[in-house]
Amino acid sequence: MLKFLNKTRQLLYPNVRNLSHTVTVCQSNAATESTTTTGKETLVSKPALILPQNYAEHAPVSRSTARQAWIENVDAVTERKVGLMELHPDVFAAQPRVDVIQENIEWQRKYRYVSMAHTKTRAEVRGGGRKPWPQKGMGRARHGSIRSPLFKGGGVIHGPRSPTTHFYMLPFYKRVMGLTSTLSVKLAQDDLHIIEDVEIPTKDAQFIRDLIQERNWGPSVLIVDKHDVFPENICYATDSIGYVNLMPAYGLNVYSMLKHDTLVLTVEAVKHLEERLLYQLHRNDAASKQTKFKLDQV
Amino acid sequence: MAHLRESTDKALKLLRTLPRVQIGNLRPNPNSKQNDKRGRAQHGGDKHGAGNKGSGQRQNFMRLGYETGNQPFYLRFPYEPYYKGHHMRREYPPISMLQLQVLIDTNRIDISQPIDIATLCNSGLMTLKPAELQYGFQLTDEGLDNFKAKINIEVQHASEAVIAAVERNGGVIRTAYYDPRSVHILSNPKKWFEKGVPIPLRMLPPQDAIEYYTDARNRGYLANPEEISKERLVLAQKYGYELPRIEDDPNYEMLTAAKDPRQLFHGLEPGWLINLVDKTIVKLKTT
Amino acid sequence: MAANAKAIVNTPLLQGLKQLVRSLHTDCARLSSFRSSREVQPLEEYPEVEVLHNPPEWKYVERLLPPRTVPQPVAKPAYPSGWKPQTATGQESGYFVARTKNHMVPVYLNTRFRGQRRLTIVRLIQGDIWALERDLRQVVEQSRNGKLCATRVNELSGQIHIHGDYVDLLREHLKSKGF
Repeated sequence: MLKFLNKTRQLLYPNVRNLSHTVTVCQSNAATESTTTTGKETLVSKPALILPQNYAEHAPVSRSTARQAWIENVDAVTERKVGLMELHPDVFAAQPRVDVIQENIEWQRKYRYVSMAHTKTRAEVRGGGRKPWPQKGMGRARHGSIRSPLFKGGGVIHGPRSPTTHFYMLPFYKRVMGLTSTLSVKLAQDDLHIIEDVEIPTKDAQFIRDLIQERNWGPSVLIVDKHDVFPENICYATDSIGYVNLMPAYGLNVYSMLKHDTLVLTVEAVKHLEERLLYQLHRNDAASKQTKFKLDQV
Repeated sequence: MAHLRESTDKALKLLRTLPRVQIGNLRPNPNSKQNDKRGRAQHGGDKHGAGNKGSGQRQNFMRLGYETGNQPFYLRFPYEPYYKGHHMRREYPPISMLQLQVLIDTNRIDISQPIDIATLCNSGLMTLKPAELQYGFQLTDEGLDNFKAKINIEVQHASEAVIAAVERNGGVIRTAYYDPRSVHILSNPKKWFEKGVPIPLRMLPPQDAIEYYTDARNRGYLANPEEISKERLVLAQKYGYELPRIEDDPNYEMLTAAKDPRQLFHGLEPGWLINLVDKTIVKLKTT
Repeated sequence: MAANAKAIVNTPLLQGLKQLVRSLHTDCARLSSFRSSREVQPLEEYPEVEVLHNPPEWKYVERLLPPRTVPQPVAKPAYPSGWKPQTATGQESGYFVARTKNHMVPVYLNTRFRGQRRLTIVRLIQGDIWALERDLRQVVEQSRNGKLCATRVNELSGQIHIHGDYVDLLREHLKSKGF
């Protein structure tokens, strides 16, 4: 049922339904082809990029729920399916804990926020050193300072004091769960697209605009590659567009993913993210990440 | 048929019909946020659980143990220093035989190699804090009837029953002392190798521990080996099992592997420097 | 004086030694803290060393390095500790309780109010959580001689909370069902 609903994203194609059984020849061809960038003419005859998931190391509970996603091209505005990729269900079909996503967003907002709201206490307000009137005999209430908090223009008690840091650390595995949940949500809502690489043919920003228009992405798009050095063309093309941003995979975070409507990952970035997140979910020294956060920890 | 991961799939399917999850339409779980402000007057102001008047409201409780004028209970009896010097005593956090067997069954430790502090800490499930005067592990007797592994283990403290349980299975147990610095190194050898410092000498036990570690009944590492083999026989007779002959064992090498009293790691000598990046060992040149 | 020192440094032997000392003392020192690293002493005070590539003792070093991820348990004829590998797939029961990353059954005890309230928490439940809740409640109520027991189901996070300490009971029950 779900697969049927996901027909735009997921496969209903009997030949390659079970990617694990596809021919290894095709796979090795695809692997070599993907590394070499060839011209537009040769790309048409290129074999499909079939990337099955290797479950040997981290087997999911149920393989039947593994997601499959198309790999799209970016060398032209028109959409072409270049291949198919199997995504690990622990990363891309995890329980969509929207509450954990919200906690991540709140944490990302707060940990860097320093409140500059400031009020003066009675000691800091100018004046008020002398007793305004004698203690007795005036028929007035006794007061020692005109800057007492009872006075208009006096100091403020328990007011905000700057700088107040709102730094705190979200537990490590909540951060991991935030990433897996957000990736799963993005995939489930058809907001996650996988592209071959980030090699676009021109430096023209109009190309990116047309691409987004044609493929019904965005409007705001976050493009993620594995490395932080992007090819020249895409840097020039996206530079002037405020709503299209580039990000290396190590910088991927919940806030940026949700800030952009569409998340576009390269094949390499998907593999890298899967590898890193599965490692965090299965690491041997997990207890060392679950200790209390210390400011001077490495 | 109910599909596995039903709730996950249901949720993901539901998300397809819902608007896009965005920063603007997220909110915390209902009732998950607690207001840290205490309302006053009509905004919920009442006693707030503190009761009416008195020490409950003012938090001016009597000091602990004060009995409104009586001679307090804690002063009625003469001083008995049960815990005198507790902050200076060596602590040996326990691991039970059951835990050890679980570690072996779940493939967390490799029994084809000698087991020591480093093996146990590398399993990722146990930690030692030498700064809190933890000097190593003691092996306790919980689950000793179900212990079936043949191991060569080195712990810092073990009872007689535990020693018998290990030796009944044809294993070898030894109690050995490590000074705090050595415990620190052994509790995370990889991190320590990365410092790039030569392996130090292991210190000898302090005076009050010498007796324990030279006693063959405790299988102390400073005890006479001949006496240990005699005590192994004595213990076998006491507990009524036949002592398996280690000499005939195919794993004889592993079972009898022991560290020098001044040695920290199996097979690595003090003074060597381990370079994990280049996979080299730097040794003193011997002429 | 300075010229004299330069002349010593330029001899090829000392040059080689200096290289070695640099690789020993600067490259590795980067990983430790600045404060904890010793200052470089005059070269004569360092002993002569040899650097062994692929030494036979390297297997002892490898033994001391922890595994990167939690190792998979290997199949054995018997598990004396009572731990069992997971055998159920959940196809017949309709629900599934996954193992933790340490291959343990996820049943925990939660104590509140200084141990006055004890909750047994079953985690990582997938599939028909309500059917599992019925099963577990039946097991618990049987052990309580038919007295009712309170449970709470959180379908979103896949957890069942059971009032009272039934950790051992439920863990054994789940293990006997193959989870």
